[in-house]
Amino acid sequence: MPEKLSYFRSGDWILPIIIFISTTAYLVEALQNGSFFRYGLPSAGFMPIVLSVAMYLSLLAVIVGQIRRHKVRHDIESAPRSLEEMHDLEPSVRPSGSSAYVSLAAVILISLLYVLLFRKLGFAVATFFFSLGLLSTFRFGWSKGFLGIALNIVVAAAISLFAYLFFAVLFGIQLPKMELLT
Amino acid sequence: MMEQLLHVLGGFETIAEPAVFGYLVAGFLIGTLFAAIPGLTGTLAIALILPITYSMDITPSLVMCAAIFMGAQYGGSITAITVNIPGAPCAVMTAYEGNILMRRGEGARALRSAGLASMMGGVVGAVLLMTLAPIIAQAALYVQTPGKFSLILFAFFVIIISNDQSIAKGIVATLLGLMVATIGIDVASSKARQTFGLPSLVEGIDLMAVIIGAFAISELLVQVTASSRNKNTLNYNPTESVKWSWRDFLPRGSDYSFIGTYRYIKFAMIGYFVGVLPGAGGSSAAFVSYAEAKRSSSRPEEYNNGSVEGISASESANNAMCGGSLVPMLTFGIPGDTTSAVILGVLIINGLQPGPQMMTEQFAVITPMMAALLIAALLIPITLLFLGPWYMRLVSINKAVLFSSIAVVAMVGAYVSTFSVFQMGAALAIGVGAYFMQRGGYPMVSFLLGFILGPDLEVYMRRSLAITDGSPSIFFTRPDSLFFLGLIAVFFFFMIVRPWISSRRKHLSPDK
Repeated sequence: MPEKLSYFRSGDWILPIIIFISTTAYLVEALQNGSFFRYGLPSAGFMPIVLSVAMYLSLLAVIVGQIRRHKVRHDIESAPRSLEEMHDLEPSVRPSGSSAYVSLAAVILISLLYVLLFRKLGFAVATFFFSLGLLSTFRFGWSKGFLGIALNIVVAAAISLFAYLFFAVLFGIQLPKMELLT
Repeated sequence: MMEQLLHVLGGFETIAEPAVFGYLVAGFLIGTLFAAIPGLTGTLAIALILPITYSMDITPSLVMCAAIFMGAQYGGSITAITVNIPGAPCAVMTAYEGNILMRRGEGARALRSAGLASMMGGVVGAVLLMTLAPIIAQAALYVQTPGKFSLILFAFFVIIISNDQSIAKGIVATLLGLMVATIGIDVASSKARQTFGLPSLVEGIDLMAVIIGAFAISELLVQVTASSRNKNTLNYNPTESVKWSWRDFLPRGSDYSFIGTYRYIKFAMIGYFVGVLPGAGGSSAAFVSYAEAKRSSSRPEEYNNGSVEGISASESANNAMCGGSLVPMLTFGIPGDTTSAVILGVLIINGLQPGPQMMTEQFAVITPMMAALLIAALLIPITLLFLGPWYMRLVSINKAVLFSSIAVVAMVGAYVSTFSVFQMGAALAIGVGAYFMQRGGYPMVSFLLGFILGPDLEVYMRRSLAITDGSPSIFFTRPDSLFFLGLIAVFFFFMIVRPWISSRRKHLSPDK
């Protein structure tokens, strides 16, 4: 079953499976909303249940479509071909290599920490460290040694100041201060 | 009709106020800049200014959005021509023809032609919007609740089938948007649902968090994965240093007469009417117009070899699309493309409910936005004159600083909409989800449309069923509803059944 192996190796099934699990949790929650109909009319639970069923069917269609596409690709790849044809079969651009995934995970983690510490540290401190973290993830100034570190700190402070001027000064929006100080 | 004309003139009067005009110019420059820098889009620009619209009046907010929209449609052509990287998807055909001219040493002419065509398209689109939208709004008043339900279904249908990757993925994205929209208070019974026992979810997921997550945070994640492979700037090394002066960008009569009024208007009309279709967007408008220009050209040999006409067709259409895509959004509350979907969010967040009522009762609120589209289009050649010589430098902007700043504005923006850290977290979660969905080919515009129109779809369905004591026959007996269901059937036949039959025939033909 080479085509199935190809499909499962591609990782295309991961997102449909995550959506499937989320839909199941959503459906379980929807079933807590009480009866499907009330006085002959749809109740609050009607729409979520309909959406869940529609989602299961759509996910099935997605997975069937993906397996078919992989099978076609596999058939084409197995056939003898010219150099031009091989060029046409180049895979679509996707993040490849572990460094892309490390950067992705780092940005998500830094952003999560920013959300969790936004009120505790206050806007200024949290935003400074958030900016610093992001700049590091983008490898800003890495080739410049100690000067690069200093540059990172200055730019992170400048971004925080810019955001403060933009939100608090220009539009008068109150931003959180450090909880320890209040 | 006279009253509407007066409202339109009132719109121009409003934007003549210095403060409002300042927002217009700022919006136009932001839109142009965002579209010119690959990775940034006009949609992202509007998503980022969304939080600050809370502390602004509705008029400058809408004027700024309209100017960003127009500027962004034009801005995509800048890096498309100069470095062959379309700043926005709608500038792909412009890059195709324009960069050949650039390499031939005619870059300034290509930029000038793109600017002129964008201006013409933008003006025609805005004028058509001002004249046709009120008429369509009058007709829309006849659409009753069952018809509104079928209309939203039609919008979903068109958006889903316009996803060229997979229809099933379009449906999944739309359903996800609808599912997220059901979290919180039930629109009909005021009962909390789908909260998973979390009190924070009772308030639901804020539209701001959805927009910022889907368009700003997901883009940050795209860029960070890209930058781990590439360097921090676009790293474009022009083979020869380009030095332009403002004189190179002075509008010339020969540029205009080379295309001619008839063809400018034709390209713009194509763009406008493609824009009216939900889901079509600037890319489709540019492509259809380019294809028609090539088919009917008296200089077909220039195509694929640096055709100024090709650039004009593409740019005129994608700017005219701005006016077209606002028609279904303003008259029915159904956006024509992603950017107008975000502008719909601006309207909703600021307490306006787009639809025929708004177009008749609050038309004066909308007219400055329409006027801003037109004035922003006229700004294109003026800004080209002043900023043209610096356009080559846009590609050397440091991505690390740019995207770190955008991330901060996006995250703080998600917070300031409700002063809730929970919504910040929601924006992050949606952003991560949107990143993986985009990678998997699930269209985010379908997700956003599902989220925005989901509550309306449910309300109209439940209200319609209440009229007939739960019988769905109402959707097939009311003429307005039947009309939109008929349109779904027609689109289904022409866009799915017929192509499928012809592909089967090709597959089964003996030559194969």
